[in-house]
Amino acid sequence: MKKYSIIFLFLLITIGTFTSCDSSLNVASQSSLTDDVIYSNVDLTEGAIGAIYDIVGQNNSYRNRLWLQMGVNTDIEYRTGWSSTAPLVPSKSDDYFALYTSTTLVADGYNNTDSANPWSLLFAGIERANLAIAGITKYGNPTAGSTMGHFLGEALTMRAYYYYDLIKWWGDVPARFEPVSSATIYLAKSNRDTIYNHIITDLQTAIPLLYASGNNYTKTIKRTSKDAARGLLARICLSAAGYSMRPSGTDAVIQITATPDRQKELYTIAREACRSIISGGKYSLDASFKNIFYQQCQDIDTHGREAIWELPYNMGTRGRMVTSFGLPRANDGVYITGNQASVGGQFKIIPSFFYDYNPADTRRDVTIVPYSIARNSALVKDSTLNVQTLGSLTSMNLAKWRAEWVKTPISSTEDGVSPIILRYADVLLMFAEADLFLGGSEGSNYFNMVRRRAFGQPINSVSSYDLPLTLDNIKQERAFEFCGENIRKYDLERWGVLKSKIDQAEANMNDLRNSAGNYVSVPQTIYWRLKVNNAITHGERELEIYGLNPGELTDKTVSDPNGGWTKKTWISPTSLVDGFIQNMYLGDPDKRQLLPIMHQIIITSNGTLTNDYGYGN
Amino acid sequence: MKNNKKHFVLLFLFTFSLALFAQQRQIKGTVKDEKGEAIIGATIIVKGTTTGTTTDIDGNFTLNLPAAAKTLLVSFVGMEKKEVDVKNNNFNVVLTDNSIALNEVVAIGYGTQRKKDLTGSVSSVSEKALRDIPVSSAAEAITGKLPGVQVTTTEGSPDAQIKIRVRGGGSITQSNTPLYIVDGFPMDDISNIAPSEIQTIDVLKDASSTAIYGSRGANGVIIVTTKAGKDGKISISYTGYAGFKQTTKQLKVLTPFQFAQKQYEGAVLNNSVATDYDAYFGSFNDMGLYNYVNGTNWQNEIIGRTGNTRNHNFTISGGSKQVNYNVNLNRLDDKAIMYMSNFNRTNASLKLNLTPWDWFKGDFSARYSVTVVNGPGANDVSGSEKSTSDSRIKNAVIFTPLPLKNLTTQDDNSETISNLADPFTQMVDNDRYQKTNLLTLNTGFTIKPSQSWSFSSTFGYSLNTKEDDRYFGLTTYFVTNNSLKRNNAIAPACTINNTNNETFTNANTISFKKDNFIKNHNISIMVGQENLLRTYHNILSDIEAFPSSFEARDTWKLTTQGTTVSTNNFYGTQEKMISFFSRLNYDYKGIYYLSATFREDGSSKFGAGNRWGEFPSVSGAWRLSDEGFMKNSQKWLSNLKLRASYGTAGNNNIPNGSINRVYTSGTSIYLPSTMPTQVWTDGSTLVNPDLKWETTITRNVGLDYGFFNNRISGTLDFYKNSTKDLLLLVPLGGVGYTSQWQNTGHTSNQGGEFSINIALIQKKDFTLNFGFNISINRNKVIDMGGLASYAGNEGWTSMTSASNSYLVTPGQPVGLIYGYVSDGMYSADDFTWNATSKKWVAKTGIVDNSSLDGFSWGPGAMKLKDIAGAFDAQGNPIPDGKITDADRTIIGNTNPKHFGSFNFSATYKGWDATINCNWVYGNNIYNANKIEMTSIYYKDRNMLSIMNNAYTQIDWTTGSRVTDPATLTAMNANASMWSAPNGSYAITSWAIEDGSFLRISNLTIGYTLPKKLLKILAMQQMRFYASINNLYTFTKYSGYDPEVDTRRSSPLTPGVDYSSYPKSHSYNLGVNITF
Repeated sequence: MKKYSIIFLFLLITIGTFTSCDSSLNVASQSSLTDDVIYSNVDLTEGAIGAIYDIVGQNNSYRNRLWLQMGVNTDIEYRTGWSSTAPLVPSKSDDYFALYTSTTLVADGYNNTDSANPWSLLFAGIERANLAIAGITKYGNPTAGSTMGHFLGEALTMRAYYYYDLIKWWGDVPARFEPVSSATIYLAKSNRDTIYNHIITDLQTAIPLLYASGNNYTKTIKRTSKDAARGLLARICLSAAGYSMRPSGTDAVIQITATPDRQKELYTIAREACRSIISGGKYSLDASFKNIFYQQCQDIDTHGREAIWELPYNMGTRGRMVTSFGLPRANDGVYITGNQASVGGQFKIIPSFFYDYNPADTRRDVTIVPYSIARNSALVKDSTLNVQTLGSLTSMNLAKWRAEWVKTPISSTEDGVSPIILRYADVLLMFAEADLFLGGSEGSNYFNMVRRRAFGQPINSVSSYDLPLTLDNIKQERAFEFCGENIRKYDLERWGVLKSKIDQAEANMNDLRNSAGNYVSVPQTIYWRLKVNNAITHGERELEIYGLNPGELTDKTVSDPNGGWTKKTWISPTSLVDGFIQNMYLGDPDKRQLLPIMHQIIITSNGTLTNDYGYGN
Repeated sequence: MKNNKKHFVLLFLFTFSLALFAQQRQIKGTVKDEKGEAIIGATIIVKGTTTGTTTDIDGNFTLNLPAAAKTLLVSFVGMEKKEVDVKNNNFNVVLTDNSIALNEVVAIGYGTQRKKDLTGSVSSVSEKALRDIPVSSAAEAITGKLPGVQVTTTEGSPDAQIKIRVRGGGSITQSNTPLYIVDGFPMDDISNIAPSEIQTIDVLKDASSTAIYGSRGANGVIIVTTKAGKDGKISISYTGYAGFKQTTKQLKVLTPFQFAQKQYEGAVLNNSVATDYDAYFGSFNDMGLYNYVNGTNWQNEIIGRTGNTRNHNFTISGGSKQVNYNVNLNRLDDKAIMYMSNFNRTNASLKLNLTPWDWFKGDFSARYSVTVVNGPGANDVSGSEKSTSDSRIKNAVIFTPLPLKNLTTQDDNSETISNLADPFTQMVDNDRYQKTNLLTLNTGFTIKPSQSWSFSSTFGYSLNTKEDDRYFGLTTYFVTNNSLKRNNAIAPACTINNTNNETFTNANTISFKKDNFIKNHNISIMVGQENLLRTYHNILSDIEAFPSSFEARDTWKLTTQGTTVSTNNFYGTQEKMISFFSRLNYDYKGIYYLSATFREDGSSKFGAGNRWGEFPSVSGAWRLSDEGFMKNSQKWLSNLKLRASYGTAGNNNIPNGSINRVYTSGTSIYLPSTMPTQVWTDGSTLVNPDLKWETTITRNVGLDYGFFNNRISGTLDFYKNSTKDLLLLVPLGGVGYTSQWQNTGHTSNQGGEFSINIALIQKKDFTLNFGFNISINRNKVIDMGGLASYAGNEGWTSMTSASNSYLVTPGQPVGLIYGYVSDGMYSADDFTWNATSKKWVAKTGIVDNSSLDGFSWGPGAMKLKDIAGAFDAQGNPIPDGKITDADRTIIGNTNPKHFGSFNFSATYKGWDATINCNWVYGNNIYNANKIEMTSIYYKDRNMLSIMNNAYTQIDWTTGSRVTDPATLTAMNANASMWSAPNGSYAITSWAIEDGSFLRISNLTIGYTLPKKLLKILAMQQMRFYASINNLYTFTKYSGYDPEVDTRRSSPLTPGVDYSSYPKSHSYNLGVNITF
C-alpha cells in the first residue's frame, strides 16, 4: 500500500508541474517596450524621436560620407585627393563621385557592401520616422500645440529631410511612408515627383504642429523647429520645380518634369514659406559674415541668430566638418592635439573664383585664403609658433571653418562641429528666386540685403553694391555666399547648368593663366612677408600678401627693399596646367549627377531595383 | 504494514542462517584473465545468497560452499560476469574483457539501450578512452575519436572555442552547434566539465536517435554521462598531471636590415625617401649598420614564453545497495604561452544514487565550476571587439623590431606610419578578465511498480553567470575613435558585462518494457513530457573617460572615476518550450528490430499557429549474424547488423523575440546633450511574425560488423540530411533593416563514415590494438528562397578588395572563398620608364592592377588574372584590361574532403603506450595574416621573411632606382615574391593554402605498478605516465597551425587565419592512484 501511495504522491507532484496550454508559450521581454507603451508616453516618445536624429552620427552616414563627400566638384569648389596631372586616376574610393565617374563596383566607396552604407542608413532613419509617425498617430493624440504634435512634426520633417537627400543623391528611390512589413520589404523605385509631393504635403502638415524656435524642445537649432521645416519646404519646392537628371532609356537627360502650373505652385509654396520665416522675425543676418562660422565652430546652437538649423553632431565626438573642410592646419598641441596630425583641405577653391569676388566683398577673405597653417622652421625658428604658409594658385583653401575657432581642441577626426543646414541668408535668396519666377516685386530687396551685409553696408537701405534681381545674378550671388557649404552643386543641378558651369570655370581658369577675359587685370606676381608687427593670433604668425587684388602691381622688392618682401610668380601657364584645368571631371557631370544604387542593395532587392542612366547593376 | 515487512525480513534471515548451518563444503579456485594473468580482487558469490569472497594477490580464493549452492557468480570490474556450475568442481575461472562493445549501454535520450539493440547511428567514447590522456576539456578529449564528428580547436589559447560539427550542418547563417545533454540536462557547451568527471560521451547522429529530442536535435546530440558511484567499498583516487608547453611555431620575419631595406624600397617607389625613410631610419648610406642590430623578436616576447599546466583531481566514490556516491574535485591551472594570459578552472561535483527500495530509485547530482580566463587573448571574437586593428598577434609579428625615431606608438596618422602599437602596450591595453560560474542541480526519481512498468521524473536547474571585463587602453581603436574624452584627450575605457542565464527543466516519462511480450517478441514503450524555461539577464556597462593613468584593474574596480556612457540592465525575452514524446522499440528474437519515435515541441520563439512542430522518425535493424542460416559462419563472423532510419528533427535556433516588434533603449553617443540622447530603437532585424520551425530530414543506412570473436569490429554508415524551411537571416538592403529571419531555402549534407578497430595482438603480456575512422561530408545549398547569393564578410579588414570573400550560392557548399586569381608578378618588359614623371608606364595590353598595387605598380608588382569586367556580343564576361571586383572568382573551399583519425595502443606487462593521430584532408585555409604581413600599405611594418626574396628595383650598392628593364630582369632572376603592394589588401589565390594536415595529437607512455607491489602499498591501482600533446603536425600550411578558425562570429566564414593564437606542444607527467 505504502509503495502505491508514494507513487501516487509523486505522480501528483509532477503532473502538477505540467503546463501544456499554448498560451503559456507567450513570453515577453521585460527590458523592451512595444509601440503602444512608447507612443502613448511623451518621455518615451522623445527617445524614439532621438533615434531618428541618431542616424546622422552613425558611421558612413552624415558623419563621414553623406555630408562630406557629396557636394563637389562644382564651378567653384573641387575635391582634393587626386594627382594634378593627366591622366587622372581616382586614387581613393571617395573620388569617383566627385569626378563624375561613379560605378557600381565594390571599389567605389559608396558601393561598399557594408550593411551600414549611406543609402541603408538614410532608409533606417526613414523607418525610424515611419515608426514614430505611425505610433504617435495611433497612440499619441498629436494635436497642434501639444508636445506629441511637435514630435509628430519633427518626425515628418526629418523624414522629409532624409528623403530629400536620397533624391538629391540617387534620384528615384522606393517610397516608404509606412513601417516596413514582410509584404513591403521589396519595393520598386517611385518617381521622385511622387515623393516630392508626399514630403511637401508632410511638411505642410508638420509646420502647424511644430513648436517655433525657443520652446523647451526647440532651444537648440539642432532640432527641427517650425522655421526649419519651412526652410526645408522652400528648398524642396525649388528643387522639385527645377531641373534634375532623369532616366531616358539607358541614358540620362536633364529636364524639368513639373508642369508650368505645378512650377508656379511650387514657387508659391517656397516663397510663402520663406515669407513666414522672414515675417516671424526670429532670425536675422549676422552683421559679420565671419561670425556665422565662428559661432558654428564654437558650437553655439541657440536660436535667434543667422543659423536656423544644424545637423546634430556632438561636439568633439561625432562629425568631421573641420577635419575635412577646415583651413588646413597641422597639429600644434593647442588647437589640434593628440593623434590628429592635421585637419582640413578636402575641398579647395577653383583659383579663378577667388578673382571673381569684388575685393571689397568681406566674404572673399573669410571664404578663401591662399595659405595653410603649419610649423615652418625656415621662416620661424620658434618651434612653438605656427606660420601661415603660402601655397600655390591651385591650393586656394576654404577657410570658413578653422581649427583655432573650435570650442574644444581637435584630437581626432571627429571634431563634432555641426554643419549648418539652413541659414537666414539662404531664406532671403530663396525668397528672391521664387519671387523672381513669380514676377513679384519684393525679391530684389531681400536679394540685395544679402549683398549689403557682404559689403558691410546697412542692410535696409539701398547701397552702391546693389544689383538688379536676375537669375544670373542669383546664380552668382549664391556662389559668393555659400561657397564650401555643400549647396552649390545642388543649385547648379536644379538650374540645369552643372556641366556648363564647370566648363565655364575651366574656361575661366584658362583665361586666368593667360591673363585674358575677365582676368586681364589680375596681377601675375605676388609679394609676401610675415607681418612686420609680428602679429600672432592663435599661436600663428600672420602673413601679409600683396598682389591678390587688381591694380596691386608695384614691385615691393623695389619699392620697399628692406620690407622683407619675397616675390613670387603666382599666375602663369605652369601654375595652372592643363592636367589640372581639364580634370575637374572625368565623366559627364550631366550624366553622372546621381549615384548608382549600390550592388549590395540591388542584389538583395529580389529583383525590384535596377540602376538607370546606364550604370548597370 | 511497516512492521509486517520487518517481520518478514527477520523470518527470512532466520531461515537462511539455519540453512547455512546445515551443510558446508570448502572449495578452492583461481580467477584469471584471458592472458592467464591472475585477477586480484575478483568477487565470487554464491548465486542467490550473500555468501562470497574475493581473490587474493595470486588470483586464488577459498570459499565455504553451502550445500544448497548451485552456481557461483564470478565478477570483476571491466570483465564479463561468469556463472560457474558448482557440480563441475572446476573452479579455475577465466574472465574475459567486456570492452567488446556489444553489451555496452549507450545513452539514447530519456533512457539507455544496449549497443547491440541500436537501430540508429550512435558513436560513443568510453571513460577508458578519456582516462589515460591528459587533456583540459571534454571536447578536446573526443577529437578524432568519433566518426562523423568534426572537432576543431579554433585557436591555441587555453580557453579556445572548440567547434563541434556532427555531419556538417544544415544552417547557413546560424551556428550548427549540436545539442549538449549532460546527465539529461540541456547545456550550451561542455567546456566547463572536467574530463575526469565523464563516464561516457555518446553522439546521436541520425534522426532516428535525435528525433526524441525533437527541436534542436537537427545538428546532432552529444550526451555526456558523468561518473556515478559503484557498489562496493569506498574508493579514493587521485589523478594528476603537470607539464609545460611551448609554441609550435613562429612566423619568420625580416631582420632589422632587411626591414630597413623594404622601407627604403617603398619610399623610393613612392618618391618620398626624405619623409618616409630618412625621417625614421636615417641615411641610406648608414643602412648597413642595421646589420649589427639584433632587433626585438616580438613573437618571443608575446607568445614565446614557456607555459605550464597543473591538474589535480580527487574522486571519492563507493556505495552499497542503497546508496552510491561519487564526489569529484578538480583543479586545472594553466599558464599560457601568451604574455599575461592564464586560465584556471575548479570543478566540484557530487552525484548520489539512492535505492531505498527495489522499486524506487532516486538520483541527485550537483556540479559547480568556476573558470577564470585572464589576459587579452589574440582576438575577441565574441563580445566587445571593436576593431581588428587591435588584434594582438599581428602586432607581435610585424611591429618594428627596432625603435624608430619619430615613430611614436600613439601616432594615428595611418597614411604614413604603421598603425600598430608596441606589442606589450597593446596587450596591456586590451586586457580582459572573464569569470564563469556554472551551477547545475539535477534531481530525479524512478518508480518501478512492477518489472515492466516504470515512471521517472527529473528536475534540473542550472545557473550560469559570467563576468566579462574588458579594458580599452589608449592605443585601442575604440578609444581613439569612438569613446568619450577626458579633458579633451583620449582616455581609457572599459566595459563590464555581467550575464546571468537560468535554465529550468522538468521531464517525466513512463516506460513499459516486456521481453517475450508474445513469445520471442520484445517490446518497450516510453511516453514522456518535458518543460523547459530559460531566462536571460545581462548588465552591460560602458564606462569611458577614465584618468589616463588607469590600467585595466583600476577601471574595473574604480568605475566611478570614469563617465558611465550607458548601463543597460537587460532582462531578455524568456524562452519556453513544452514537449511531448514517445518511443516504441520492438524486436523479434533480437534479430529484427523496429523503432519509432515521435516528438511534438512547442516553442515560444514562434507565434501562435506556428509554435508546434512534429518530428516523427522510424528505424529498423536486422542482426544478420544471429539468423539461423548464418550459424556456420559464427566462427569468423561474430556480429553483423544492418540498420536503416528515416526521420525528422527540428531547429528553432533563432534569437528570442524575432516575431514581435519591441523597442530597446540605448544611449546615443552621437547626439549632443541638448538632444534626446536616450533613444528607443527596434533593432536592425525586421521582425517576422510568420516564422516557423526549420525541419531536417535525415536518412541513414549503416552496418555494424565484428569478425573473429570481435577482434575486428566497426561500423559503416551512409547518410543524407536535408534541411527545409531553413531559418535564414536574410540580408535586406536599404530598407531600414539589415536583415530579417525567414523560413526560406533548402540545404543538404550527405556523406559516409567508416570505423574499424582491430585487436592485432592479444597475448598474455602483450596486446596491440589499432583503431581507425574516416568521415566524409558534402554540404550543398540547394536554394536560398530566391537569393542569388549570400555574402559572408570575414571582416578582418575594411578594405573592400579583401572583404566579403565568402559567397554562398545555390548548388555550392557553404565556405567557398571568392577572390582574385594570382598570376605571379609583372616583368620589367611590361612597362616603360617615364623619366620626367618618374613613373612606370604600362605598355598597352598590360592588365591594370594599379588600384591594388598602389605606387608599387610597376616591374615586380603583384599580378592578378583579368577574367571579366567587360562583355562580348553574346553577353559573356570577357577581360576588360584592368583588375576590378568583377575579376573575383571562387578560389578556395574550406570544407575538407575527408577527415578522421587512427590510433595504436599497446600494453606490455605493466607498460602501456598509446599514440593518437588525426587528419583533415582537402580543405583550404584563408591565410589573411599572409596578405597583411607582406603589404606595405602601412609603412614601418615588418614583413614575413619570404619578402626578402621579393623583386626589387633598387641597386643596393648605391640606393638608386634601377630603371633599365634588362638590368632589372637580370637582378631579379631569382625573385620569388612580388614587391610589397601598397594598394588595398586583396584576397588572392596565393593566400589560399592547402589546410590538410596529419597531426600526432598525443603520445602517452604509462607504467602501472604490479599488483603485488600495490597490495603492499594498500593501493588498488597506481599508474605513472608521460604524455606529449600535439607532438608533430605534418602539413604544407605556412601559418601557425592548419587547424584554425578565427572569424567565428559568422558561420559563413570558416577557415580564416587572422591573428590566431598559436598552438603549443605540451609535455606532461602524470599519475593515477586509486586506493
